[in-house]
Amino acid sequence: MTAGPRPSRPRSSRAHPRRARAGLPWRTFVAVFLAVFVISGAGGTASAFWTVPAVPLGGTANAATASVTLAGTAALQKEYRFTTATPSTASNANLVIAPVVFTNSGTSPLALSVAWSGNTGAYPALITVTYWAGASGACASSVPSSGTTVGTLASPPALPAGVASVAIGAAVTLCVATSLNSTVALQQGNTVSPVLTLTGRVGTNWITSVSAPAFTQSVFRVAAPTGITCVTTPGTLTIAGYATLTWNAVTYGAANGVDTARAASYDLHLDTATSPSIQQVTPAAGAATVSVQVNALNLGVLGFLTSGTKNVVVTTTDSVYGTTSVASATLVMRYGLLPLLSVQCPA
Amino acid sequence: MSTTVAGRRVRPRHGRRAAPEGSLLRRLLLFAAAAGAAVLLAVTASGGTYAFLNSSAAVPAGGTLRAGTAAMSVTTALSLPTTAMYPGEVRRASAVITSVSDIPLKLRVTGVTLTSTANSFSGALTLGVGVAASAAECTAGTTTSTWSGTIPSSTPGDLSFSLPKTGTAVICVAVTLPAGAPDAARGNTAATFTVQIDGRQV
Repeated sequence: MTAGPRPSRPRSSRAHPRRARAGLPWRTFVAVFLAVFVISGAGGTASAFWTVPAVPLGGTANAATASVTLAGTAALQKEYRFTTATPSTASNANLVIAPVVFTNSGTSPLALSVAWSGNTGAYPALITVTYWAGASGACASSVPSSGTTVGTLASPPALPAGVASVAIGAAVTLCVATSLNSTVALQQGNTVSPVLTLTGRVGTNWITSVSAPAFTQSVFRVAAPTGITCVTTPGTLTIAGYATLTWNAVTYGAANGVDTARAASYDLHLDTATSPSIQQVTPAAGAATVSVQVNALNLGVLGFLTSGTKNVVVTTTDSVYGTTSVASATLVMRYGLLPLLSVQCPA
Repeated sequence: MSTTVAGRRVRPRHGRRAAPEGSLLRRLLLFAAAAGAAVLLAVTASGGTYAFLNSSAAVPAGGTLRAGTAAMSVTTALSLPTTAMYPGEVRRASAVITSVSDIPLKLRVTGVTLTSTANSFSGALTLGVGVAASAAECTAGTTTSTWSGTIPSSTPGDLSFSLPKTGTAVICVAVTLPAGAPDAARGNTAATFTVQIDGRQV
């Protein structure tokens, strides 16, 4: 085998790997020494700072309260009783105005809102509610022409701006007027007992509420006769027996002083007030008592040889407001063949 | 595998001969020893005491050296309005801190402690502390709070104000009951707190 040209060695340190490896620890030593010496010698200046002990600044913060009171809704109690066919708020009989006072009894100013409850149904929707701002717990005697908000009891209006907030320790007056937007005859006997709740707010979460006692707004309906007395008049072989019912004449109007009219007429019905009248009585004007005789024919007893009972009720009709009462207490009238087709008072 | 060139053994040109494991370990130990020795020597050398050339003169007899002082005190106490707070309200008041020092001091809030019983009210309060130009500026609400936190708070914060050697600082404290304070906070007992302020050498 012929030997080829000898390869030339590179001149770099790689040419002496053993020598180069032997020098590396020294280079490392020098590099690390310089680095540590320079860094620690140059950056580590010793220093000392004074710190004065803390001084105290004391303070106290007090928490406010939020509370409100509500007064005056009792004056909204009302019985609507007016004769005009077209409702008018000019008539006191169809208008009630009451100052409702909101008093801030806490230590926060409050944004106010009110809400009604117990105010649902067709009848509350016919009661017009008007708000306006009063002053010093008083209201005008009539609804002002401006500055009011109007709704119904079923859908109340918003609070006027003047009573939408109350300052600390202050009071605001909300004037509330209600009137019936219908006739007494159509709404007779209806009643509603709403509750007004006042809510005061401050911030997002501070909420205080107070509810006033319920008051009633009703529509007049003439009362039914009460205390009906009965006297039997026995029959004979030729005269049929009958019963005489007597009661005091129903008056109305004395309760509110508007009038003291007496009921115009009375009707007797079998069983219920909605059944047809079996007999109508129109007392003499001013009569204090009313009497009516009830015989077998009135009760519809036509057959012979029968006996039994018939339930009789009495209703009242007033001619002023056009209302009719509910039924009186039931009278259980007896009837029989002898004495001849007699009617007797309840046992 | 090797070949013979002019009577000498020549290593094959491809691939190096792998170093024995013992040699590698020895080299690593050598490097480590070198680095360790360098660090030791460098630290020893840099942390030492140096003597520089200097000249000195004798102090005349009777000379006195006094240590400097650094002290500050509250010369006008903080007096927050006592009217009750409701949500969304801010109460502001100022106090005066006076320095009697030989050095200016950088003021810092070191924390706030609650000295009354914790309740929903104290937990809802937030506190702001800043340095005002005057008490009027503080109560007017135009002072910027450079520290803010809750009551209590252990978070320190610089007030970004250097109190001169013999100067005063009007510290403005603003207490806020946020609009979203919980309903449980109303009517609670009062929250009494202390803001701690120290001074550090500038």
